[in-house]
Amino acid sequence: MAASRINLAEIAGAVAVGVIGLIIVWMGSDYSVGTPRRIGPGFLPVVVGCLLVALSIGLVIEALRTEPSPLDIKIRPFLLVMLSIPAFAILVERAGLVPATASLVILSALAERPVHLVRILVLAVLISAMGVAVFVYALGLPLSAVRW
Amino acid sequence: METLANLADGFAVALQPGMLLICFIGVTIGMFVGVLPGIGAMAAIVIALPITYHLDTTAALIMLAGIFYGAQYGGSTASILLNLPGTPSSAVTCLDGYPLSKGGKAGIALFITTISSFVGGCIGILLMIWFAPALAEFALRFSSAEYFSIMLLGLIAASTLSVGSPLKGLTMVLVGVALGFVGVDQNTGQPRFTFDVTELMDGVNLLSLGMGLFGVAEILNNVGKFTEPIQANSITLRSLLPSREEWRASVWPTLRGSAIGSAIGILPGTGGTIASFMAYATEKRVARDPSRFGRGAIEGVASPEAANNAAVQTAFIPTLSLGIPGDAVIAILMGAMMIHGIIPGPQFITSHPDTFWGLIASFWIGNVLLLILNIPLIGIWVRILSIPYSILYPAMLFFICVGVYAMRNNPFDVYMTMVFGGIGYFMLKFQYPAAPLLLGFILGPLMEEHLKRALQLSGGDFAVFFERPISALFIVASVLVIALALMPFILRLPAWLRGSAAEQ
Repeated sequence: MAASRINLAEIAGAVAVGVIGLIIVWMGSDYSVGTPRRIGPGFLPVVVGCLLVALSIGLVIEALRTEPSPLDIKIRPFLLVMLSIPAFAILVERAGLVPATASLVILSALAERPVHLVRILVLAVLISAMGVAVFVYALGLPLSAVRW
Repeated sequence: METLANLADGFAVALQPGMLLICFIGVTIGMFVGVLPGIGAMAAIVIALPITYHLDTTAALIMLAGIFYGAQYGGSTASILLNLPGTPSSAVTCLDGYPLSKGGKAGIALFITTISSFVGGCIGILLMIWFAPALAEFALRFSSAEYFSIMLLGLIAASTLSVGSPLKGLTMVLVGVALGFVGVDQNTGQPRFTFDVTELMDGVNLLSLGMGLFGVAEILNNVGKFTEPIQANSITLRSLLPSREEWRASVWPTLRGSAIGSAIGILPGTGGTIASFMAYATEKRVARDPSRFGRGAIEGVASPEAANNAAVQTAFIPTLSLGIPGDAVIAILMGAMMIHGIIPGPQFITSHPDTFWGLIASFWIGNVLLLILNIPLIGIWVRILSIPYSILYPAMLFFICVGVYAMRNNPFDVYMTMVFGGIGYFMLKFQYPAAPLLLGFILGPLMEEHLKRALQLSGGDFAVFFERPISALFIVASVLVIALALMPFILRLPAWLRGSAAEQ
């Protein structure tokens, strides 16, 4: 049974594995491979990289034989959740735990539809308060609630 | 007798009020995340990992292990009531648990799964008490060649003996090993794959990797999935009690499930999910009337639940006696041990008896606590099912970010978590499993070290791996497992190639 449509996404994934393998071989061969008696820091990376290239060929063949299935990647939730994390990282150092937590919670909660604005704000306040109570006061981590 | 004395010492450790509290917190968190669909044991353990940095080693392990086996108990609740598996290993429980629940027997199904989980867990613990010290003593004779070979078998088994494509599993193991290269090489001081980033000099950190692959990726995958509020009927205590026939029908399946689970749990690289599937298949085969399965056979919930709980306990045997994690969750536990400065291996039991026997004693205590938490309090767990995911996941993200950041107050680690989260999400979508990656990441550096040492001792002769009988056994087993896993692929290959040639 031949696949009627070519599974492009799967093939792209398989090719990516091969590219990663090649990069590992290429970088690994820069770190000396050594001799069998005294294998160098480059030995295992080269082996692993080569195996990955071999596997990627197998994966391409496998992908050619499977029907493409819908990938169903939702862009909006993905971007919002992904953005909320660096927002936390940037704000926690510059502005403190509360602004960082609030922006993390608000950004990530916007990913869910329908948007309940009041609920999100309440959640942001509650999680920030809990965070300050647990991490700043109870555990005494070197974090400040708000930094001016 | 010595075992009993050791066990008594263990109870003395685990029954201290502080330890009891830790154990209680662990199993309750486990139960909680197990019940909730959309949060797995893995995510819960990585999220709890930073908290355990502040505890001593024994307490940290007791808590993390409690989350792990607590989640196995909790996982069946959502399976039975809603047909939504709370954890992957309880997916099988849906098959007969949900029909039972639709037939008005939800209470009985919950009761039987709790009891058979308890029995399975207890049998697993007993085996652990006998096997782990004996295996550790045997393993004291292992040299680097044996360690390398057994780790190789563990990685291959973990990546190929699971659902999905074995090629993808193997790929992920190798990617994990490659991620383990990052950082300064221990022997030569040569930085590898650091891309001149200072933060990568001491390697990719386990916390960012685990939180990204299992926490963030899981959230990305689940956002927007559980928009309907979940409603489950309340369960009364009276409806829990099974009839005499139902008791009788569950005894043998529970014992068979425990045996299957124990055997599978001991093998490195295989865990609760496979155990529960095999137990279910076995029950179906030995049943007088297999057609009852899928329509609410009590055997169909008793046996898999016993199996996955037994497997979860026995999976600790290779970890604690050899230093080879049975599955990815235990690999995280092993990572936690290493963070606390303990290298799991044959010396662990003799050099840290308090930790080992305290942990075992805590398993008993934890299982009893779970029994108490489950049966009288079942109503509360049913209500927990209705907590909306839209409240849970921002809170989870918060714990992930704070936990990663607080490790060394470096935002870099948080960015790494985001990157691994994104990668993990695409891995989920393309069905590249994350668990083997984590195993490869944890075992890779140890394997490289053992490979180096074994070759140094043999003077560069690779035959050392075949000349030592135990090592040879593991190598042969590895080759067999690979051959078995790839057989369907290789057999179809000529036809495929001919097929595609014909198309052109």
